[in-house]
Formats: sequence, structure tokens, C-alpha cells
Amino acid sequence: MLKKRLIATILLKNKCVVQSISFNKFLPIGSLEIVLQFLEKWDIDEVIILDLDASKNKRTINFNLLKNSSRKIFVPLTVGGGISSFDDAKNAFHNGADKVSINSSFLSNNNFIQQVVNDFGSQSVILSADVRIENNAEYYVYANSGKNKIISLKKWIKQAENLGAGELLINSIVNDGMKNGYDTCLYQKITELTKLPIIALGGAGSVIHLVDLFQNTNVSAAAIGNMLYFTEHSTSKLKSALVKENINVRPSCFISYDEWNFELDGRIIPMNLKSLYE
Amino acid sequence: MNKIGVINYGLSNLTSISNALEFHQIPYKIINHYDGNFDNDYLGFILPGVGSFGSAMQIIKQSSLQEYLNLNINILNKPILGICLGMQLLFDKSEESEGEEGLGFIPGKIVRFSEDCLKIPHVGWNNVTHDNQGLFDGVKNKNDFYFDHSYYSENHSCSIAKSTYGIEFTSSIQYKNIFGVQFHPERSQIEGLKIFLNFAKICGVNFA
Amino acid sequence: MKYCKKCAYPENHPFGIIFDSNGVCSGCNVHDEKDTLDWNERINKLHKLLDRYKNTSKNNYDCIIPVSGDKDSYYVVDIIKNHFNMNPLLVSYNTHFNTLTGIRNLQNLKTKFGCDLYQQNVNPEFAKKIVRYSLKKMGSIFWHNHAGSTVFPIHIATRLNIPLIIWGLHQGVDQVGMFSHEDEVEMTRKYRKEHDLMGFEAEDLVDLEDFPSEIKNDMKKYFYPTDDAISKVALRGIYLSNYIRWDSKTQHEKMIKKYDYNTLGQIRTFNTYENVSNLLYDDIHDYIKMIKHGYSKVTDHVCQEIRLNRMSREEGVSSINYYQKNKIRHKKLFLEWLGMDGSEFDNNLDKFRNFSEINGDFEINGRTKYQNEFIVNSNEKDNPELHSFYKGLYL
Repeated sequence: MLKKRLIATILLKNKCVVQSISFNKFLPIGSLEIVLQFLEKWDIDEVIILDLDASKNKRTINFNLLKNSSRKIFVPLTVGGGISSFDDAKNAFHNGADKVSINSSFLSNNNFIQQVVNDFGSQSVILSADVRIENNAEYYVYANSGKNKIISLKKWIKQAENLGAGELLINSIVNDGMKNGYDTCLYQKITELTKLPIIALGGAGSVIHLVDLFQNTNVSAAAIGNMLYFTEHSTSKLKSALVKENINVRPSCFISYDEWNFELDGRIIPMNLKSLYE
Repeated sequence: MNKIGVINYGLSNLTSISNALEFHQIPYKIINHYDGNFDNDYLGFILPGVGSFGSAMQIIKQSSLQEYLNLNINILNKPILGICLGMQLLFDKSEESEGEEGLGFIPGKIVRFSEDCLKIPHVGWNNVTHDNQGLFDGVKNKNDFYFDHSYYSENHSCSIAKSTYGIEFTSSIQYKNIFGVQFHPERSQIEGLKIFLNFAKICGVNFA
Repeated sequence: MKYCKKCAYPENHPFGIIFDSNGVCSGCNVHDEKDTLDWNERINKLHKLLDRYKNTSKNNYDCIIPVSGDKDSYYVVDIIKNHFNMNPLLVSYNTHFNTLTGIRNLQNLKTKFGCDLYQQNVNPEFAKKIVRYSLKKMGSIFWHNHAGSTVFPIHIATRLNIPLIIWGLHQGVDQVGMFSHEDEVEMTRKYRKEHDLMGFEAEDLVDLEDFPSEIKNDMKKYFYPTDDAISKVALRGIYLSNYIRWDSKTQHEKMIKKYDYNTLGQIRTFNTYENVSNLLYDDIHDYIKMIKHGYSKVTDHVCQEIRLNRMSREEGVSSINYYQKNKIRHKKLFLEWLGMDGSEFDNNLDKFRNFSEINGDFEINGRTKYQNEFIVNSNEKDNPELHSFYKGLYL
């Protein structure tokens, strides 16, 4: 049976991995290579690397950095940020990426996307959108870090389907960085609108948010960000906690916390263990 | 002569295949479709691939790779491992590109998942049931592997592994010296990397 | 070189540092949380967490506290043992080249607080070889100290089934604001590899072609326990600085008063509290930091004082200019112990030399000694007889 996926979103700013804490506020984490190395060990299902400054500076992610950092990584890699031409996508694939993620800016220049889909297949293209609800009624897609309203989500999804996208990555602007959970209404709505697999992004702060998302929507995957860096074996612990809640995820291959219980904030609850001297 | 040939017909993520082969120190060389003169110095071949059936077959035909593979696979009986689209190309034809013929090494047709109640593509980790031999020697049964495809081979008499997505389909196949995996072993962590090691052993690679 | 507009950190801080649109660094921005967070609420959170770990059957230690003869050891033990009534096991990795003050502080610690203390001492002959290698490979003489002090507590925890390690200050949060206090970041092998060990774990080094094979087995004591060993006890390492409003100077002064913590005069910084136990810290180690990164420990101390509003940026920069020019004194002693001559030492460092010994293109040019009240209460003097005390004895 196909499993729900736990996807790591890694944000890059000038080759440094960062965590985003609110609009335009970032904290430094460290190098991409070491982050990837440990996520691979910690049972992550898939990785999305987003270069935050690429679009703004009209460049792509540094492909040498991508190639060198992903040598020992054997889970699917998606790369996003500044992919605005067929050659950008081709270079991404030739340097270790399996998929490219292209943001709502595709609406202004989407010819190359058709070409990428034709040559590399629809499964190689993830289209992503930042969305926000308007008047408590309809969801709209925004560009420019949430500043410019572009198009209704419904219309955007239709366009994405027509282009032949493989998956949709939907980021809820209001939930992003707040650690209060995902916008489950949004995702439930989307899964009713399209047959494309949906990746939910924005709002995860703890395991209960993931449980809520998977129990109440039909998304294919949950993307998480900052939480990845707070604890030892972070994603392995998440996997064990999700399995305990009967969420259908790929269980941990390397590190098991199956015997342990978790607080609401996802941290481990200790058990009394025998000492060496007994 | 102790190496595997990885066929580059321009559409695949060769970097991850190379990384996977290097993990187990399997000697290999990339065979580029534009090279022209292909040598016959390989113990076996890997045919990776993403993209569409039609565009892939066109490049293969234009570059005379098809004759080359016919010679090495059907006459010299060297093993070949098709991955994802690469596995689909081994068949006669595919619904994806009606009218375009595949390599025809395995009898059968590739069809599309039904849109009725399934999300397409079939993307993510899904378990694979196999009998722990040959390509799957030492691989945990019902282990999850990573899939990302919209087309598949129905249950086939040469299936050596099966998975379920709405219906049961062939996740891996073996027909004489011809092997295929629908999933991405280079993206399926340790168990996936074992597939490469097993294929190398089947090819007779010397690990001294 | 860009510097933070508020503190004095440069943009090339080895942890990574981010300047916001006002030119203020991520370290200062996170530091601001100290004035906005509800610290009562945070201490209550800590209390709830520690309650979970209190071993009510008293058949084992509740937690491990990694300690040394300086830094926040006293403060952490005081909080955990006396304030929260836990039963900690103190664990220490001997970094050697101890000052008498450091040796005395550690023994005083276990005595005053009445705690069991496990200490790891490594074979000095092995130490020489790994120091020579790490100097060549990473331009570091302290790699094995960082490796040992961050892994010895883990080994003890996994062997004795003690599920909690309690650290004091999280350096990444404190210096560059790597995390918000509210993230309650815990200890990870990832952070250790990248930021404590400069990207090289022992497991990586022994596989390298140029690694001396005769010390491969000795390196195993620096290997991290397996993931299984860690998940078997569900080991967690927490940082008190996420729950307590951290002010290193004030905390040390409490410890000086209450528990007779001893401090030691420094050459290259005004902070006589923090790094008093290792003779080479305010010496060769600091010199190497300077030529590699373009700033030395006094900058870390200045940034702390600026952020806590005890020092203006002008005073801070002026102090940096003053202290970082002071010459080190123990190079000969160290190289004699290491069995390396001065030119070989300098050649090894050349690969990593990015800056001169005196650095800083700050706009402020003054050089003044910081005249604020950092107490020195130890009787230890720096004299030649002391060096012969070290020769032959690797303390």
C-alpha cells in the first residue's frame, strides 16, 4: 500500500541552511551536506531544497553545491528556487535532482514547463503555490512572498493540471512559521478539486499537527521545516509517533522509537530504566 | 572488461545512479547515446530513465543503441536492468506513446493507472513483495521502495515482485537475462542499493 | 568585512550568521528574546520536564551533567542539584594542560556539591599523535578535546541507562542565534559534527588515507554510540539556557560568592571567569582562532557584555583592539610537549591562515583595557617553575 510521505524542506540562503522564523527573519543552521547526511540516517522519505534568494537574484541554486552535497543521499531530491528555463531544469536533473519545484511565478512564463514535462516526464515537475483565504470564502494564490494576489486557487490548479505537473506543493501563508498546525480545510478542499498528489506545507510545529493533517485530509505528503533541527533523530521519532497513531507512513528503517511515548510537543516521555549497578 | 555499462540517452538522472553504484564500489562506465561507436566490453547494462516512452525510444533508435542492445542482450546474452521508464522500454509497447515500439525484449504492454479513484502519478514509498532471490537476494520482504510513475506493467508471468496501487501490478520483472524494476532503487536507501549489488553479482562483476 | 551593527561579530562567523535589513545579526535578534519571554513560564516548563526524569525509585542517577574546571559547571550543578533536587552524575573529560585553578575548581565542585564524578583521561602519547594530525588536517589543537568532552557523557549515559544529559549554555544560540529559545533545541550528533568537530567525526578521520594507522583503535573512544544505543535509552540532552535567562558573568559571581569558584587572570581577554581551566585556551588556541577566523575569544566576551547592556559597542571594540594584540606565552611549552618545532607548527597552520594576528577593520580605533569588575581571586601565578611542573606530568 502506498504510504504517506514525510518530506523535509530545507531552506538555503547563500549556501547556508537556515530556518525561517517569521517574514524575512532567518536563523543560521549550517551546511547543506551535513543536514542531508543526517536526514538520510533519520528515515526521511524525501527532501526538497529551496534556494530562497535564487528568484530574487535571477539565478538558480548552486549546482556544484547540490552535486557535492548529495553524493551519499539515496532518497528523492527536489530542487526549487529560480528554476525559470528548460536548461535550469535540465541542469538540476544532471546535478542530482529528481524533481524541480516551480513556484507560482510560472504563470508568467510557462512554456518551458511544458517542454520539461515532455522531455523529463510529469513526475519530474512539482508546481508550488503560496495561498491565502480571502473573505473567509475562496483561496487565492499569491506571488512575491504573499504580497501580490495572482489568481484563484481553483483556476491555478486547472492550469497546473493542463501543464502536466506531477505533484502540487501548497504552502499556506497564514500558517507558515506559526507552529500551530496545517490548514486542514484548505488541503481537504484541494484534494477534492484534483487527482494530483498534494504536498502540504506550512504550520508544522509538532507531531500532533501531522497526525491531524493525515487523519483529516487526503494529502499525499506533509512537508516540515524547522522542526527537523531541534532534536536528535528528529524525523525517526516523528515516524514512530505517527505509526503509533496508525498513520500509514513508511516505518523507520534505521532508528526505532516504537517502545516510547511522546508528549504533545513531540518530545520523548522517559521510562524508568535499570541502572548498571542493579 | 569488469564493468557495467550505464546507458545515457539524455533523459535520466545519471548522477544518482552513479552515486548508487559507487556506494558499493561497482565498476561502471557511462555509454552516451551520442558516442557513436559503442564497444562491447561490458558485463551488463543498466537502462535508467525518466520521461516519456515515445521520446526515449526515438533517441534510442536514432543513435543506433537499439542494434547495439539487440546484439548484447539477445545474442551475447548479457544481463540488462531497466529502471522505471527503463523497465517500460524493455517491453513491446506502451499506452503512453501509441504507435511507438519499445525494445521488445519482454513481451507485453505498458498501461496507464486508472484515474477513477487513484491519484496519478503513483508517487511515494510502497511495499514490494518478492521471493528474496536473485535481484532481491537479502532484501527484506515487503520492504518499501520509492515509486514515481503513471504507467505500469500488468501482472505478468515473468513478475518477480509485486506491489499494489488500486490493483496489483508488476514492480519487478525478470525474463531470462532481462531485468526490470519499476521503482527507483537508487532512491530507496539501503535496500534499494542492494538491488544494484545483486545485479552486479548476476553480471559476474569481480569485487576484488 | 561586515560586522554586526549592534555587537561585534563578523559576517564570517564559522557557525554561519545572518544580518537582517538593519545590519543587526541573528545572535542579537535572538538575544532580544531575553527581554520579551516569560522566564517564569520557561522555568516551569523546565520543572515539568525534570520531574519526568526524577528517578523516584532512586536506583540510578536522574541525569548526567558534563563538567569541567570552569565555564558554567558550577551554575548548572547548583540549579539541578540544589534547586531542582535531582541526583546528577558529574562527568568530565580531562582536556589536559590544566591550570592549577582548573584542577582545584573541579575538585572543589564535587566536594561542595557532594556529587559522584567520573573523569576520562586519555593516554598522553596518543594525545600527541592526534594533536599532530588534527593540526595538520584542520588547523586545530583541540579537536580531541571537543570530541571527548562531547562524547564521553554520551557513552556513560548509554552504558548506565541514564536518559538525560544537562548542558548549560547552547553556543550556537548564544553566539549567532542559531535557534530561538522557544525551539528548546536539544543536543544532536549533527550539531556536534558540524560545529564542535569542524565537520570531522572520529569515524570520518579513521577512514582517511593519511590517517596514522597506529592510532585507529585509540580513536574508537571518540566514536559516537550507535543510534540503537541512543534510542534504547531515548537519550536527550537539554540546555538550561533555553529555560533560564542566561547571564554568564552574574551567574559566575553567584558561584564565586556561594561556592568559592576561583577565577584566573587572562592575557587576551578581560573575562577572568569563563575559560580558566586550560592553560592553552587563552593562548595558542586563541591565536589559532584569530588567524583562522579573524577574531578571537575576546570578541565572544564583548558580544555577551554588549547584548546585556553592560558595555557599549565603542567600549567593546576598543577592548577587542586592546586585548587581541597581546602575545601568547606557552607556545614553547606546548611545542616541547608535542615534539614539533616552531617552523613545522607555522607551516601546518599556513593552510588555514586567513587573517593576520591583529585584526579588525572596525571604524573605531581606540585600544583600551576593559576596566569593569571581573574578579580575580586565584593565587595562581604564571612563573617558570610552573612550566617545569608541567614537564613530565601531563595534568
